[in-house]
Amino acid sequence: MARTQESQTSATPIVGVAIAIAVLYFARELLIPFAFALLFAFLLGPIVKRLEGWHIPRIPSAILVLAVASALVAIVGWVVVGQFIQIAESLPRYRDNISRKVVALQGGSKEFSDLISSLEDMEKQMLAPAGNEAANSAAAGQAPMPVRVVEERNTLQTLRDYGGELLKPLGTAGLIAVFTLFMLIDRENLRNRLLRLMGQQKLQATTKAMDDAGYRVSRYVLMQFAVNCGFGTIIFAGLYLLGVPSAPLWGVVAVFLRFLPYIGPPIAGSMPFVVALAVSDGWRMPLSVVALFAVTELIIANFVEPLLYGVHTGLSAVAILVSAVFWTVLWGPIGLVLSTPLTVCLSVLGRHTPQLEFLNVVLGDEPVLSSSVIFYQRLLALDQQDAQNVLETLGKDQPLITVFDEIVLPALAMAERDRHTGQLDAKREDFIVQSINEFVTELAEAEPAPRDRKPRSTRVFCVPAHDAADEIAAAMCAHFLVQEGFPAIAFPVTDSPGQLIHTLGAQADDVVCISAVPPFASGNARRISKDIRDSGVAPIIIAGLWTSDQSSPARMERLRKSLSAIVVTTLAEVVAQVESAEKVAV
Amino acid sequence: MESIQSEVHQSGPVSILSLQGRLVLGQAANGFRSAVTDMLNAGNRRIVLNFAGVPYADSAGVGALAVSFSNIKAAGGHLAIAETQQVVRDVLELTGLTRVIPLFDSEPQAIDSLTTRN
Repeated sequence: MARTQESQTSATPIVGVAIAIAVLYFARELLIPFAFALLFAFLLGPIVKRLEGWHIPRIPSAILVLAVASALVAIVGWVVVGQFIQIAESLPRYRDNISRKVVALQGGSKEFSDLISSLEDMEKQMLAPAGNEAANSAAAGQAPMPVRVVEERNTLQTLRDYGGELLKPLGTAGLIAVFTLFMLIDRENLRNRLLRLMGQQKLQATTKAMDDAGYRVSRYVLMQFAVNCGFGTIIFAGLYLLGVPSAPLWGVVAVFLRFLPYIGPPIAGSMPFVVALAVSDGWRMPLSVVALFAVTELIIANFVEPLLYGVHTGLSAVAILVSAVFWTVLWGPIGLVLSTPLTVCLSVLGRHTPQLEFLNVVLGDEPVLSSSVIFYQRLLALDQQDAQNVLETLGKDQPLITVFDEIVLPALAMAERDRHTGQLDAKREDFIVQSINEFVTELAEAEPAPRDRKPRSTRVFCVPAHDAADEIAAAMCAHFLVQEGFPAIAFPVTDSPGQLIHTLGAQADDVVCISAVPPFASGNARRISKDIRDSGVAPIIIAGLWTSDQSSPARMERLRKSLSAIVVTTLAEVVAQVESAEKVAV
Repeated sequence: MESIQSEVHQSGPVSILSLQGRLVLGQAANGFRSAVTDMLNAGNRRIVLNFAGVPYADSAGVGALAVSFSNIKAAGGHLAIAETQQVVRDVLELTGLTRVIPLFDSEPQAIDSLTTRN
């Protein structure tokens, strides 16, 4: 019974994914316009908002923006189609030129010449009148062709036959326009309904997810459009200078085809290449066209886009490729156009919804492992050099205190956790402690003292709560306090830190900072705090519980009471608290 | 990992621990503490630390010195430091250790001060 339940539980996500794919496929007639509308809403939304900012009501703003956008698309479409027809009509004039070049390219092989001849024969047959064909068939002794009586068609019938073909894309376009308008006008209502659907208890996460999705997709679409316009302009200018006919057309085609990941620019380039092949006598023009597309695309993809998008769309390169294949298989060529923005939405959804976290892990380009985990993993592999490289690379351009807070302390905590659970053998444990010790000493010594450092009077005793990991953390703590001018001492582990501090003549304005790495950080810190209070000295006590978990304010308050200390979780907080304590003492 | 060299010699009732190297976090600080603990275990109660060969001490090194001092005191002994370099002297003064551990310019002066103690 239990096994059945377990297998049912493990099968649930697979069934869910299968149902989702089936819905995406079978409802594509409705979902494709919806997805396009979503994309347009992201693209046009900021413009509508801007118009609203100029005190134009939302509905007229949305209608105006949509009308202008539709008119632009119609004009561009009209011009592009016209130019295409013109080229299609003129290309046959250059057929000989193309054949000559292709034959020259193939080295004038017999097979290729035969192929060209066959194609030409086929063309002649297709263009020949039907009567000739029947006569030829009869002459060849073949069976007579079946004859179909075709009625003379009136205008209404023609409209019915061709209207269906014409109405389908027009209907889709209309549906997209209606959806887009609805989304532009009613975006808050839509968002609220989605929030309600996803559950009010996750309001914060859902709101964040939607804001993030909106921001990233809007940014992606706008940036992509701007970059593609730049790409198209360069292509237009380059082709115009090279003398390729219809250069504006190829520029516009390049703008739109570049929305197709990976295959868009080559397809866009292939058309003017063929035209160049047709109109030019030599090879200079066609090859220049290839070079123009290749160089422009390489520069834009490798320099301009990373600069504009930051780390592109937040998707990994593999995810973009796989999503392109997935959406193309599901929705055809339109799926290819929509693949990247749709995948951005899925990735963002995964980032903010715990149940869908796998989507962000699979699709996102953020490191799957945190810096501290990578660092710890290298230490576990007993690769000190690599661990040091990781620390230097990840910590580059960051203050040392941040590197220690975000990489070294969490790694120490992981080592402690593994040691306590028996997953870390003595050899590795010793290696990790020694290595971190060495890194801390080396990096701390290499850090220059601040120029404006002023000597402080408040003494700080950094006391490890329990073991070697706490000792290293105490030394880190003391280092940053010394950097700020505080006379700080980092003690090794002792049986009675209270007695030690008493021996050193601690005073009420001295500060004791207890350093405790999890697990059992609060328990160990409590013991040390009590020992210090029992020794008869009453310094200010700060308990550094080096946990990366964000404890709730209520828990922090409980810890503060039970430890009789100021509770902090980062080295930066320790420095801030000691500075505050000094001000109070003054 | 950085370590510290230590050498012990006797002058009457006083044991002198001469150190060579930087007194910093890790093996150096641990080695120093072990050397002092060994001297205590051997029954030495009047100890002079010759810091002439110690060019630098970090906060962990000072911590090791403080703990060693506390252990000597707990055992009923006495500690003095001799021939400290200026950098280390500054650190000891800033951290207030000079208020509880006497510093001497020369080793004989430190030995004399401990010899006359009860």
